[in-house]
Amino acid sequence: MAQGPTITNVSSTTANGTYGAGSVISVTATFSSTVMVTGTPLLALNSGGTASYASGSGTSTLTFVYTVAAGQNSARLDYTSTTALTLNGGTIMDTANDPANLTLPAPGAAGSLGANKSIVIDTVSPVVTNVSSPTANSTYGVGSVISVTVTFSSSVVVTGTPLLALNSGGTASYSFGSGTNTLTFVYTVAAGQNSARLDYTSTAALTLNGGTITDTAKNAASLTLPSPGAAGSLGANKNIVIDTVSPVVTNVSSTTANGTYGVGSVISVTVTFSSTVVVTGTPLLALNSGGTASYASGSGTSTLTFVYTVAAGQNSARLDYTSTTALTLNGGTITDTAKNAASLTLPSPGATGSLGANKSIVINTTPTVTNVSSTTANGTYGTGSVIIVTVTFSSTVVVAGTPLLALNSGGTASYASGSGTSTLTFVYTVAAGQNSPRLDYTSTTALTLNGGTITDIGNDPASLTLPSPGATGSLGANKSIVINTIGLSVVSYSVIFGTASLTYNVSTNGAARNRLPWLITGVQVVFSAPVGSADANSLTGVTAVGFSGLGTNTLTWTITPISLANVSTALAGSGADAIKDTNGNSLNGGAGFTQHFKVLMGDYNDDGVVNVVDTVGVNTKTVQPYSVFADINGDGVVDSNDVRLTRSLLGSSLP
Amino acid sequence: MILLSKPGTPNRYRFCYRPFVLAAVGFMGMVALGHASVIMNLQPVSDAAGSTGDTFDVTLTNTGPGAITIGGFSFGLSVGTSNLSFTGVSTATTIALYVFDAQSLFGPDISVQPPDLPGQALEAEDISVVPLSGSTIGSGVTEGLGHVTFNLSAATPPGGIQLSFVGADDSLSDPDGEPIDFSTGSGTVTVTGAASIPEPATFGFVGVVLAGLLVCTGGRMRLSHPSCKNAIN
Repeated sequence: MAQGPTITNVSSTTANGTYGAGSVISVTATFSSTVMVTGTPLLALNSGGTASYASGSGTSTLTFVYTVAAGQNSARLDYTSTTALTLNGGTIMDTANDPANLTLPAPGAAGSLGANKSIVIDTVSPVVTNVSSPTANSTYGVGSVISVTVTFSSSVVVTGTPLLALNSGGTASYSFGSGTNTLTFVYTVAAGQNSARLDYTSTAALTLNGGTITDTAKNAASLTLPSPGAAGSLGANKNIVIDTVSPVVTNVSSTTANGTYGVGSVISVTVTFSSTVVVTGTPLLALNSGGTASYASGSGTSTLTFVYTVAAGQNSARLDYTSTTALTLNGGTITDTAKNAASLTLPSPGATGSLGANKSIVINTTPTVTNVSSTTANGTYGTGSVIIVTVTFSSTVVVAGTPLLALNSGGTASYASGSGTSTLTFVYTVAAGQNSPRLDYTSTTALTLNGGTITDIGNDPASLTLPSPGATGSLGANKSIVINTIGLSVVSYSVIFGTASLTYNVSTNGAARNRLPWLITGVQVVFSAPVGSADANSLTGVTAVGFSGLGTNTLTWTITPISLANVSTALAGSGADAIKDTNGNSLNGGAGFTQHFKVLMGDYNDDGVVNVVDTVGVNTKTVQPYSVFADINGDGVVDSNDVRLTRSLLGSSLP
Repeated sequence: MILLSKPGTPNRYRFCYRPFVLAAVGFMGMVALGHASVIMNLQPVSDAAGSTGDTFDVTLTNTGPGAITIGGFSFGLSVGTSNLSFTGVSTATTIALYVFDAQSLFGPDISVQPPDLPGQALEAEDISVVPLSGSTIGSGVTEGLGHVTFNLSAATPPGGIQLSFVGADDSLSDPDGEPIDFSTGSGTVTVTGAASIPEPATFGFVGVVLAGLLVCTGGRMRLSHPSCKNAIN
């Protein structure tokens, strides 16, 4: 019996690779010689499928075709066994009609299909295993781009632009990832799209949109998604908020107290939004005073603070912004955390929520007098004293001419310096007859221009109204300056005599006595006020050898003793030795004071001669009540010493 | 009109010359001093040039109709030549009792210093030792105010040296220290040569005065002086 052809090799013309359902795999069986085929022999494969003879009769190589059917899988396609080739009612013979030997090389052995090729049969479809996002958890607004990743159970190949419907109302479009098991979809947030937690709409939210998603074996991927919010869903994996609602201004107010503010004042204006806003740059708020408030702080909160520094020439009866569009970005931004640009529309000026409605802030940059004081020390000042009065304005003023300030002493302070600053200096030189127990100006209108001007730097006239005299801010309230030009006068003029330095008031009692019967050793003068200036030479007509009492009301001169003389003394009211009070006021307005007295020691009875009548008279007083005129030696008692002293002066006379 | 006397003579002539003294003093007071009722006067004396320890009295005479009480007196004398130097004044009057006899406050030396003695000026003053009391002098009575001692230089030419009351130093006070109006006279120290004999006329006049002084001194009435009162009675 002749031997028929044998199978020498089994291979495939199909490229190595993975093939899924529907794929057509060609398997070639090579015989040792030409064979003739009838019918449709079959080759059972380890994928569960069967390759059917297709062609090759009359050659030594037969081709079998295997169309992969669902459920057929093989990690390395091969036939099932050495007997996997079956005639299926047909024949395979050589040309001599000898039946071919159908025994195949052992699967996996040399010459087997599995040994020659690496063909995988995979008919399992990819499924979605996870949906997430590389975009950080946060809130995103219009224009934000959010990436959504869809992970399959195996690599998938994408054609077209599959879509993923989102619960914000938006759609994520396939972007990249084909050939991998993770596809990336991109979602650009559009106006009106909002989601408290971004997710896809449903398990069927992933659609092919005309494209395909298959694995490499061409198996169409399953598009079924995890239920929204369930494990593996976008909502479960991420916390992405879609917020396309723009912040709006809900209120404009100020932390500055109601009141009137001038140049240099700093006013804080607060702008409250409906939600937290983030600021870049320096947005501005135009104000009806002509000024502008600049953003200062508050980014990251719902309330922004703008600062307004009042400048000269800016005024407003009730501070507000200029219009509903007064808030401008000035090159910066104001957005919410979702990057939604804030609405800059403000409440209408004066309407509810506006600055003007919330606050009563007056901007008045007209210079006003805020304080009147003096750099002169508190004290009492007299004729010729110079008092410096300072008038402080609320802002810088410019002075022309010589404005005047009328004072309650009757004098006038004249402008001296300070133009170009906020404080003007006036000088007041005290004149005779001007007095004030507490120096102040005469009234709130005491400041007058005197033909000059006091303006701000914009040449607008300053307000000249002064604080009420005596009220806070007034000269009288700030300082205690006494103007006293009444001057110094003599209250009493006494001589000092005797060993006990007794005194006798000549000015009061002079008319009652022509001659003083003692040895005069000094002069003591009591003045109407403490004496600030005097010296030994202030008393003339006698020879002063000592002087004391300066700073008190009483001056005492010790003199070369006088026992017999017609004395004319004078107290200087002018000149280098003028007697002045502590305020500089001269004695009797500069006229001085004169005092005449006669001295005839021992002339007890004041008859102009010392004789026995005086001696006897003094002697009688040794037994009678004390008489200072009998106390010739001035020791405080009248005794024989006075009698003898009188006797010793016998014959002295002074008409 | 000065009566000259030697020291030590008045007591002997106190009483016998009183009428003459009264007459002379009264005459001089009325003629020379007008209507003052009290006269302060000087006893005229005569001494030889070069003599020392010469004396005369200063007297006070009440020429008024009633008694007066003297609380104190003072007088000053001056002389215009240095040939006469006063050396002192005391209460030891000779031609009449001292006015504050036994009640002198400042005696017996009643000179007041200054002036310096010896010299050409003299001051004296005395008052009753008891305040508010004095010496009462009856009408027509003369009492001594001081016994003045003096020297004459040897070069003193013969003749009269006029003695004067100073005026400002002369005063009388009642016991209350009120002034008493008075008048003053003057006196002359008649200087004789060492061996000179007085002129007859001078002798006569001096003799009359001395006699009068003696009578007057011896008969004066001192109301405040017990001895005087006794004498009057």
